[in-house]
Amino acid sequence: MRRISIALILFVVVLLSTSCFDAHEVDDYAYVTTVGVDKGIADKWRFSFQITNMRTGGPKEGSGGKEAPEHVTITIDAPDFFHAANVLDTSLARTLNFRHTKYIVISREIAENGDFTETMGPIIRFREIRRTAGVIVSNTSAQSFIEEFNPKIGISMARLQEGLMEQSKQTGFFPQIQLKEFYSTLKSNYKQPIAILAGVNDFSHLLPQKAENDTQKKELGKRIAGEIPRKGGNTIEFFGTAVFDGDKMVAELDGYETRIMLMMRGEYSQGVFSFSDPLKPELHISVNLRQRRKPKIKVQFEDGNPVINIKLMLHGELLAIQSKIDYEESNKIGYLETVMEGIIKKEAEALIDKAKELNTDFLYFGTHVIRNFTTIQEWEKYNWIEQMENVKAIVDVDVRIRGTGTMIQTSPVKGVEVEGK
Amino acid sequence: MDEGKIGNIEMICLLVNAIACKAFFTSIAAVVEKVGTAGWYMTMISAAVSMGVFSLMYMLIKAHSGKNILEIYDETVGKKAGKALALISCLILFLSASITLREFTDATNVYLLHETPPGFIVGMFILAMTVVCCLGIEGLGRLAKLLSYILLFNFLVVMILSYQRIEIYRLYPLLGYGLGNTIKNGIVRSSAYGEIILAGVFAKALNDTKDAGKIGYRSLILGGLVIAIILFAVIASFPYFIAIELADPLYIMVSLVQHGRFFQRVEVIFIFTWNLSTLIGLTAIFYGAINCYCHAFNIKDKKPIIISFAISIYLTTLIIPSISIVLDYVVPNLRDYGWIGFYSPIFIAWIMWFFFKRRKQTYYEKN
Repeated sequence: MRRISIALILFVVVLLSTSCFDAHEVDDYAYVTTVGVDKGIADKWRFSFQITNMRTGGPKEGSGGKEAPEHVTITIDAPDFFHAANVLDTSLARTLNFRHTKYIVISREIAENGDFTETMGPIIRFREIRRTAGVIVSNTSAQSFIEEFNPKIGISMARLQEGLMEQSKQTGFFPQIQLKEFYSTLKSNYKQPIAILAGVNDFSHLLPQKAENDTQKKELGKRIAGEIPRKGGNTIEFFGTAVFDGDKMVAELDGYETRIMLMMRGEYSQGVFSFSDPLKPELHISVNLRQRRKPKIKVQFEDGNPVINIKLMLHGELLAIQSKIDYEESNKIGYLETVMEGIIKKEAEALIDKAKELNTDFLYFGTHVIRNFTTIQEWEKYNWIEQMENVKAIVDVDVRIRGTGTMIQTSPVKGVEVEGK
Repeated sequence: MDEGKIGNIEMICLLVNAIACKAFFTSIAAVVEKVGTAGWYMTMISAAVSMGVFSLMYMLIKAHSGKNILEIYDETVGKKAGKALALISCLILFLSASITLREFTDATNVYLLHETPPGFIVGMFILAMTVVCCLGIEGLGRLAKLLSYILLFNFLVVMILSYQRIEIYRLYPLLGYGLGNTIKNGIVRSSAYGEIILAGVFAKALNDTKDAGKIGYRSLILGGLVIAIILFAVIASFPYFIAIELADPLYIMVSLVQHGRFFQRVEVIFIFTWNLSTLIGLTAIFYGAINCYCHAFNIKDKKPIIISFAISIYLTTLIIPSISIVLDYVVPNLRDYGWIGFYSPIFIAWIMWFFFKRRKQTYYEKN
């Protein structure tokens, strides 16, 4: 009897476990890779959804022999995100699914008006949205950004979207900001949010060779997304940082400022620093700079105001010396290190001044200041996010050039005309 | 029904799962809401308080060799009062199992099986619990030991993988909402470890009831360690004002694991741990409740009781209409006042024994 009842129970369990209420086929869904929001016309907001076209997994042909695109962008005006997604389901014959959403794009207008929490903020509650999605502020409309957000050179869209984020670690020209970070800093009492600044480059900033010199000549790193003087390749680019006070975008940081910010936050990995040769200012030196270790930050209070000592520790490797001066020599390398320390210190101090002027802690000083408080009540009473303007910061930079690449010295170029150069 | 015997490690596995499985659900957010960043060491205070209460229970077990705590109740306070104490233990264990099962169902519904009716999830879970209970304490102990090593490995893997989200500054301010508040909540919330009474309920399943002491202390240390590690990881991964918002902070923490393009979405490992640990833990609590009930009414055959308890727990789990009521009223009340149900029978029995029976017992032993 016991055996029969156990067999019966197991039979019922097996029967009930064959499927469940949540069973769905993969092609029941339309997978959204990027979501964007702009101000709407027909309704309050305009939502754009970039959807992967799963038919391109096989032969890349659509109906009529035409090559099927790897993605489709659908735009709709709606009062809120979920309403928009739900209405779109009626025309797709599939349900929009956000489990593979990699980026959330908000237009600059939305960011500057402080509408993020109203438009996209609530989606964090949604189970399908992964908090690892990147948060982007687009200099153009989110719709046009998403329409351009696809590879123009031979990689898949998923590879492009994943790979772009990784470039933050290789260059330091933009931060790697995920939804969970952005959302928690929106509510934070010890730091304020930033987002990736992105744009669509129409290639108009690259002037023709015979054109007159650009009168508004700007250093490459001092530009922002959409302004890089280049032509060809992907039209979209990530470059710079959007700085928020609460949910309102209040400033932007260019590429160089972004690097310094990342160094001070301890999030900088590596990037190529190019600067004027101190002995031949018309020429440049390139150094691959890495963060040796996270910055040492000490906080003390003087007259109730925080005094923050920051020590940045960096490693460098010489990549190029246009002047061919022997900086590899041990007595000259120290000089080069001092020059670099001076440049970085100056840029860091300028960035701290900018943060103080905006009264916004995008440098994450609050995460160090909080260690001086013993209870949450004391900390909340102190109200750090209003105190940034009272900060006194002392920056110390330590650069050590550890490598000279594949060369240990530079010999001069020989020739009749170039002799002695 | 032949109860059989289980080893010490098997009993520890049972108790640790029964204690720690609730940390996979909403309790973490509730702790952070109460004590802020001090949650990770508040739970150690709770564990220490539970150890104190367990010491009282162990004194009783030591003084009544070969008896479980339910039989000791009968001996110290009399048959009728002992029955009442056994029923109090039964009720609190039943409620604990029911509420944790409800938390499990809601978490499963929110994160995994969105369209499956809660009744189906609860039903399937209870079916598994019933099958294991029918195999008795021996089967339950073997299953607990078999799975616990895998669960421990999985738990450590997900914790190690989550290290990249951990930022030490989130543990500041170190005293949370104040030391006094932390100690007060640590004492009140000691009911989180209330399942340690199962060491007394199942004492006769051990080869020697005196082993209950070392088993209990080790289970409390291990359970406390697991809960403290979970709280530490969650508090260091999310700022305190975000951790209180999350329905299941541990699940979210694991879902954020991302090591490069390929090594991500490892929450399946966590779901495996979450499900099996809850199955072992809740089955132990459920079986403990059945034991208390059968003892109170002197019922020898547990099988019909298992089935009626299964139906009752199904109904009580589903009777609460929404997750908001579970979070706002049910779980906080169980955690804040649960110690009364878990520990008051022990206090009463210990007081009666210490002041009225101990000397007589010593006299008899000497002569």
